[in-house]
Amino acid sequence: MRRLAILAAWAGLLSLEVAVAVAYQGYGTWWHWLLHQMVGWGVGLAVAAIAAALSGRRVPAAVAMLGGQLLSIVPDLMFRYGRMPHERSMDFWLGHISIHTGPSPVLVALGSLLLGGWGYVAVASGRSRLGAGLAVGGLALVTLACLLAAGVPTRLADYPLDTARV
Amino acid sequence: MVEPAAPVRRDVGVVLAVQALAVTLVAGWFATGHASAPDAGLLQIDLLSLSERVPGAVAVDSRPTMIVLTCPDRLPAPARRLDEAYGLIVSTDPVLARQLALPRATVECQAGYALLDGDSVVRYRTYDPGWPRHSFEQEVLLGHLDRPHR
Repeated sequence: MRRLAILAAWAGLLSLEVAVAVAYQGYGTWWHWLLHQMVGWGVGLAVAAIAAALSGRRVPAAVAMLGGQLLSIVPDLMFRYGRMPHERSMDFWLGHISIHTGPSPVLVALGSLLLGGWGYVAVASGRSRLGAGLAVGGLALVTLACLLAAGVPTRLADYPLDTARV
Repeated sequence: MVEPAAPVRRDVGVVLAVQALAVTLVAGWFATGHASAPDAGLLQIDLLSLSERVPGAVAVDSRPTMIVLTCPDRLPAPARRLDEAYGLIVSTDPVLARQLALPRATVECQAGYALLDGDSVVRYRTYDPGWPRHSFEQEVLLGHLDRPHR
């Protein structure tokens, strides 16, 4: 019975993730899905790794990733369900605005997931110091990218004219 | 603190599987010719950051208005899906496209649009080749242009 409940929970979680991805795809914002899910998962795992290294208490990976993912997409949920456009202050949600205009957004997001994930795996395998270092590296990568990000243009003249490639 | 081995193994497996999926998706993203930052990272960013007038960009009946820039052979079949409360203009004028920082819309058929408030002030612009299917997004933004800003 317990095994069935666990299987049902995993099936529900996977269905939810697929539904979220399909929703982003439907709005033509697959790129945003890639960025915010990877950043959310990476930050969630990094925080869980650091917490485990410091306290010895392990947070399940799915919980850590889901928590980070939710934090990362709060502005999109506000847009969809509260009809609220994005604002610069929404950087509070794991760099939700600046991550777009920072250096190589997709690679930064992937890097945060890889570093956060490896940090989590290292701590879970008993290598706390290495794991915490990797996790801090993942958080630092996202922070640095957001700090280096160009601002969203306030004048049409500030838009680059030849970089569309949409 | 000693943890049971099975949950740890499961968690490690979950993390590695998610990472493998992410690497595959990112590889697919680049393999299909996409940039790491489409339109310099400003593609459909949904942030009303602009506030300027552009010659030739005029709101319809002083209502918040969407001006779509596209090329002549990509004009949409259904003329309108946007709520009637908002104005809609479809243009293939390359000069206007350039003024709205959307030059590729008319030259390379990568459609985009600009949103104007009722005073004909441009508040937003983005490329969006799938714009006819994204009226919810456009109406959320246009709904905020009913209100005075700053």
